[in-house]
Amino acid sequence: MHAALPSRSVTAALLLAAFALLPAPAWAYVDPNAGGLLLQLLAPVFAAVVGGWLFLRRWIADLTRRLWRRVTGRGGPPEE
Amino acid sequence: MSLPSARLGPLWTAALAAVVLLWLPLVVIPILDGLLFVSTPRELARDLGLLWLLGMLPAALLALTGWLAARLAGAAGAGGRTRDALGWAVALLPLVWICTWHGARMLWTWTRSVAGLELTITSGLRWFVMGLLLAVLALLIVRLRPASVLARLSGSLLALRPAAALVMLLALGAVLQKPPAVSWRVDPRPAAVERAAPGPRPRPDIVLISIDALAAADADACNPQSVQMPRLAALAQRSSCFTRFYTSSNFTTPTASTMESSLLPWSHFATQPDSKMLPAVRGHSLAAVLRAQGWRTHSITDNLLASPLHRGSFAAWSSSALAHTTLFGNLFRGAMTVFPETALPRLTATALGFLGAFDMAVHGEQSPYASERTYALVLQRLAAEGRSAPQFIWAHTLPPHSPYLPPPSTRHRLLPPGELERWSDMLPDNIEYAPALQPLVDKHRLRYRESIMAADAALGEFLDELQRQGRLDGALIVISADHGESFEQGLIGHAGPRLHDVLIRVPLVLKLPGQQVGRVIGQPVSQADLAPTLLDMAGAPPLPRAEGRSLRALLEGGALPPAPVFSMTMERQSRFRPLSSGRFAVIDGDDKLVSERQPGAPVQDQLFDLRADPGEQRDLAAQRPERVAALRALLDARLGAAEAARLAAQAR
Repeated sequence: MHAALPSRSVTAALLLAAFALLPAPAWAYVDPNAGGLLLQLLAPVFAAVVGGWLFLRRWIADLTRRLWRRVTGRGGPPEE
Repeated sequence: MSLPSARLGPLWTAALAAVVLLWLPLVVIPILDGLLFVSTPRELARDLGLLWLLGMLPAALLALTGWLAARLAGAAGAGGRTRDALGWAVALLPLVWICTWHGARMLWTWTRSVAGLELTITSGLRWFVMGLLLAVLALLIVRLRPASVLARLSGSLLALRPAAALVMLLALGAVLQKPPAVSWRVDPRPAAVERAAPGPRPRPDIVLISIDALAAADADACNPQSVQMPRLAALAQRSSCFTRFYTSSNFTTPTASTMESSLLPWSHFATQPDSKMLPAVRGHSLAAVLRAQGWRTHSITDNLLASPLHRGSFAAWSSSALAHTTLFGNLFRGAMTVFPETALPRLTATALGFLGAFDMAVHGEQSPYASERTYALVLQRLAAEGRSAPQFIWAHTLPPHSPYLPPPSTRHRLLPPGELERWSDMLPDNIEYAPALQPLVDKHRLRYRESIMAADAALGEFLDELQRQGRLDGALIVISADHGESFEQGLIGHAGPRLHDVLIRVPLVLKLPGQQVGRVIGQPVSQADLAPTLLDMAGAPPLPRAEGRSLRALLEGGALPPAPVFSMTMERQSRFRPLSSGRFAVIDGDDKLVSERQPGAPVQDQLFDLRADPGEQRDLAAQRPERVAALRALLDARLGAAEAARLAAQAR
């Protein structure tokens, strides 16, 4: 997306490392219901929303600004 | 994009947006299914609303820290750009790490759920990956311009302010629609309230001690030559010692609830680690009856899952105390019991799950638990109460629960130095392991037995102190356990779907007031029998819906007709759905039926002869179908009754 942001391979490596680093909850019980239907549905939805926001934020902001300008005839909200 | 100024307002709103829109959803989504097993949607909305409102606290703390860092940098002469970068870094980078941790956890859980993967992360692998992560982070720092990343991050979060405000408003509404009860640990009502109730005959002090994860096979309590528990064995010599006392399940929440209520898990439904007893049965308890009869009732434990504060039954207790552990994560979890009817303790523990690694590193060779702290609180409570009213104390202590890190006084008695010395050396507990790991698991068992020795020594000192105070001989003393511990059949620890002998057979030593002569009782009896027995021996009225019976006849040297004993694990059973999921054991004489029930799947039965095959290695179901049918009929009848009671409670 931007040169200053981590490349996808580095991001993936970071996520994979953190993913495998999860400490075993040695002092707690593993939630036996983890991994139910709601998780299977909601996790990808949440990931899509967050990913969409991260990668399409500028596009969404531009779109919102154009719509605002068209409706009001004035300049849109200031850019972040 | 330029970095905003590191003022308190923007720092707080950006941190709050990260907390409420990223961190907390990542915490809740993986456990949502389980939460809906034990809470109604309204309760769940209230609990989540409360969690979201509490999310303001870490956001404020991080913002304040970032602001202070920026101010200090300014005072030290740093330029504006450096000052702002430092402030934003201090406020946001911890949240980046936490969200990455929880995001990875969700990804891992999701992958396991859709692909059925299992992986045991050993300490060696953990250290390897930690090194890899550090290398990746170093690479990132070299390649990136941190100020630019911070600018984009802060900009993104500040843009989410309206969404965060909306979420907080919704959270407030969810809390207001069902405000939570607040409970402080000690009931402010004076002892005079209990003293006013007259008792029909002298009322003894009752001291019930449950030792966590203590398997009968490892405690060897009825053997006068017991190596692991000589002090308990000495008490057993002047008590009734049961060799076949079976728990109602295989971990603390359901078994502690059974001890308290004489209801089996299919009736009280505290069947998940952090679930509570059904509201309709929270008053159906040993403590409630004794309190009504004039006893002062006190629960003292270092295991939150054993506490009435955590299982919903706190109203029956004159006081409920949590003994100190040195786990950092437990501080916050315990504090949340101020809302005892909510899922806040569990939600907080999950949100702060990353502290587990911190605790493991900090503790090193030392266990976070010590029985002495619990017993000290018991003695303090007894001293504070005096002798004007009879006392019922339920003390539950964690050792020898994992991590198996005995104190120096008993360490190395069974396993020489050099192995399994640190917490990080241990296998994770409550996991299935491959047969190749059995030699390593056997070594864990030796450290576990050393931990039992330490727990026994602490118990002995406590009993000695009661004796010195003149409170031992006249008291009714019960020493038992909530469940056992497995180092065999591919399971280390407890919980999960298994019900083999070491998980559910625990010691029961019961000394009546004035008793001096001991007896060993080999008849199978149930954890559900405990409360009816104590009430009977105390001269108190019975619990109306008890699923156990008084063992008075056995305690007095007589006979009691045999009765089947039930144990079960129902962790994937919702309290709002028909009883259809779980594993159930029926122990009748020497036979044990293990029946697996899953929705849409045929019932799978195994039959074991416990006398000929105590290790439960030979399934006799095919050879003895008539016995299987008879035990299954017993189980079906009880399941049918439990389902009818569940439906009736739901209708009310």
